[in-house]
Amino acid sequence: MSEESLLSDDFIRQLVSVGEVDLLVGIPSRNDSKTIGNVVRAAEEALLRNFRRQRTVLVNIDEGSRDGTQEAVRQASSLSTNGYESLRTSRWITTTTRSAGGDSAALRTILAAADLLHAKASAVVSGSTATVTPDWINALLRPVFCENYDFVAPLYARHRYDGLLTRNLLYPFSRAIFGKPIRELRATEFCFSARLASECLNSADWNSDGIRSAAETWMAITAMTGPFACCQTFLGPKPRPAAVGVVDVIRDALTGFFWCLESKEQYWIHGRDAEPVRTIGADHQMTDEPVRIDRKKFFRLYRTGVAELSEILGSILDAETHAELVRLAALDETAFRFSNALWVRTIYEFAAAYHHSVINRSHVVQALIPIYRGRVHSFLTVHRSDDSEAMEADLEDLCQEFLRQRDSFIERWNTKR
Amino acid sequence: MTLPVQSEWYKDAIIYQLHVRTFFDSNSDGIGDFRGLQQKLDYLQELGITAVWLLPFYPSPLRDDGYDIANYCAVHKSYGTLDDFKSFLAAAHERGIRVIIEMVLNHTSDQHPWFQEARSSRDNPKRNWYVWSDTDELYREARIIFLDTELSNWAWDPVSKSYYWHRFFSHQPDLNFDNPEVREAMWDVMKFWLELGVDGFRLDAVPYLVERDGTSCENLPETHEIVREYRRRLDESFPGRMLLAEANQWPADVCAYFGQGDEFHMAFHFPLMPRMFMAVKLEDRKPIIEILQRTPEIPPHCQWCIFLRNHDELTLEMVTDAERDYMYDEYARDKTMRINLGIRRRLAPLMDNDRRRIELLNGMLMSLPGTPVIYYGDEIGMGDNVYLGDRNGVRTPMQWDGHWNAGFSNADPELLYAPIISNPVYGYQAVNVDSQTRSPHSLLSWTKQLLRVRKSAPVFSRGSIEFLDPPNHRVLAYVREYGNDRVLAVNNLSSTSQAVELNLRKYKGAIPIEMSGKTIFPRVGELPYLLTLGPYQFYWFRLRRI
Repeated sequence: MSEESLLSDDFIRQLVSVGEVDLLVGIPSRNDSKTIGNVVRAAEEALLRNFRRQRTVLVNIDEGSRDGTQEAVRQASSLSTNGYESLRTSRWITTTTRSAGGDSAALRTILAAADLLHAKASAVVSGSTATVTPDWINALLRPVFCENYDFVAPLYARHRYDGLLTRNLLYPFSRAIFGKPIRELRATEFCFSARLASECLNSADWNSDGIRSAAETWMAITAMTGPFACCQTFLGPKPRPAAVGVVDVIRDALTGFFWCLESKEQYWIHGRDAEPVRTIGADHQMTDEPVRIDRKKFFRLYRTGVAELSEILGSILDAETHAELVRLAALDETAFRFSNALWVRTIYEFAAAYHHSVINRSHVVQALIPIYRGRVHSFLTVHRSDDSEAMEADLEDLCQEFLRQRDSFIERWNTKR
Repeated sequence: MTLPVQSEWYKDAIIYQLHVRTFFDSNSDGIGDFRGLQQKLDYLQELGITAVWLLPFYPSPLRDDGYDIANYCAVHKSYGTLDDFKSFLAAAHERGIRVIIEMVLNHTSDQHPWFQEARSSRDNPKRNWYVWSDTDELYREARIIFLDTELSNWAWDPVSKSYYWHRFFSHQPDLNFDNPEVREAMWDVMKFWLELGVDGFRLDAVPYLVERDGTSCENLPETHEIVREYRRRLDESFPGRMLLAEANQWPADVCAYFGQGDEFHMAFHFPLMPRMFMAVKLEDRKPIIEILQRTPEIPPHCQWCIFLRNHDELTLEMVTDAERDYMYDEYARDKTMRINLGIRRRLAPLMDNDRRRIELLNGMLMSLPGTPVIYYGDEIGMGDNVYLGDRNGVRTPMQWDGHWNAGFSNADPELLYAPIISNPVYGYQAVNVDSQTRSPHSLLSWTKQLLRVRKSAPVFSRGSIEFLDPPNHRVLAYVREYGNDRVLAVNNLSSTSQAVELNLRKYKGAIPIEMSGKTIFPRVGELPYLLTLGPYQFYWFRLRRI
């Protein structure tokens, strides 16, 4: 019986026609008809302006759009690119992912294209990122193509209250464990080398369910934990994410990250020294336009969660940690503060509980969500009037706290309760 | 002996370009001559070419490789005598080889008696045969062509104390074609050679014949009028003879030189040449398709002349700035290789001596629309010497064998007009006619076979062209059609193997027969026709309906 292929015959036919390339820009899309036109034009202009002599291809991997996204791609790619002329034929590939791959299928398909076309540098840019400019694409591709980096992570100018999961958990946790200060672990824009593409594509991890919700995170961590040169590059303002589906996003992010910890355990389990990662451009920028946030709701959800999930939390956390969370939940909202030390201890205990499957793993992750909301409430309160420098200083404190408690976490990870 | 009048022979021709000086030295003075060339006609006949185009062989101070003519109706003494020329011409015609000679209309040498007279006094009857001015202000919009050497198109004549006009080197004063005496004198020159039996002229520097203030002084209507007049006289008195235009211009401008079929029979397609090199380096058919699609239709009795390399630099005048930069970086990274707006290198070194790429380019040359020109020595993959100055590096002696002076001359090596190429890769011991004649797989043997196949199908010389548009842009595919004859040419421009699906539905039912080995391929059906090609491989298929 023939093995089912990730790649359709039509896609392979298109790859055959394109042949070897120097640069690839992959654009995953799903119902992005309003934004993808700009992304496509930005990518084309970036390639024509900055890489006129290179062999290039744009690859749109559509994940079943029903809003005319693919038509928008076709229209955008036929428009002029501000007078920039290519020496070569402009090449486009479009395909739709097959359902078997789940959420990771788009990235895997781009990796396959990059590998089969021998692309020296491949940038991934989300079709939903409305603020993409040609400079973004250039900034992503150039370190890999010109400076032999294997992985380029993005840095964005974010609103002070955006990216809170990254700021409070993913970045400081991964930095402490993997030793490399890459901020945007779960990025929708990044770039990779042929070497990294090949390593990732041939990984057995694709057989795991864990990768389904964390392919980008997994790839970043693969770069951080392998013999790959990593850097970060500043792109520009990242649009504020849509408020819908936040719980799903958080759940997927946490699930994916915890799974990555397991899959890369051999790398960090004996402790890693910190290694610097080059940053190109600004290392952080913050926007500050006023937004309405219902902080009370976060606290309410925390308090409810701690009460309703008491039994589950009891099986996940040490008694002392659990008691502290319960004590905090009893405080008046104005007095509520979730300290860095407690937050780090809580997260580490959740991660270990996930690893040991003390209860159903999805329940572990689900139980963390109200706790995370409590942390967010505290973050918003503490930093209500802080400037970006103060927020950065606090972030650094948090990172150090993750590092300080790392050894006990590793011990906990290694010892099933 | 003249060959019988044969209409449109130039369309079926395969032209071999050479300089008498470079080919074979019969009298051991270190310089090739007509007697030597005559001795090598059997070689040319066996190669399969049908016409020879001779670079200027007239008396000349040779400050521009003979394009500075001092006497239009004689042979430079280094190359022999007029009788030697006549003997050579007869011998060529006996072998069915036509002879095209160079005619430089636009200018003479400053050593030409006409110019010597003209500069002698302002009242001399020949004064008005050249273009004079008391200032250097006129025609300021005309570009300078030889940017590396000339600062102005005007040169000061200290003898007659005025400026004379020159579009090329300052020792090449332009003739004044507004003067009817000049026009008549140049027709007399042409008539002289036509009466001897030459089959055609390659007219040098045609766009610059006439000057008008406020214009670029190129391609002016008055210039076309002069060409039309010469063509009328040619057809009247010498039917079957041919005029070939050298006009390094965009196709739309060159097309004007075909007129309504009443100016030139043929013209060089200059912009195509660099784009063939570019396409191979880019591994992309775009440059070739774009320029050919921008090439207007030409009158039915006219023909493009196409080439890969010639005696000049690989000119990059007819490309964009970005394309020129690319070509320089890819083909002439060493600045010594650059001259004017071009690259002074031969075909084989340009292709890094890669036999597959040399074959591919020759394959395209022989299958794209137009009459192909082969530059002497390229059929054996001769190298160049960029250190010889000007464009002399691509004008070194022909390499006949591995012996004394490459078999070119018995003279002492120091006497040779130019040193023989002697490096280990392209030197005469490694690259020569003798050794390649002995090998059935040499470039020379391959070229002979290619020319045989080309000549077996008039569709190559006279057919229409339709480009196919396969998704694989590394493959250049087209169908040539002439009457019921159809040939499919498929070229892999890439250094790697390629698969290509061709939409041949229009030719459904045809059986492709590969023309070199006469191998039958599967019949064309409804589905895209799948072909695989090795690196730089090309196929010519005759599409037969049986």
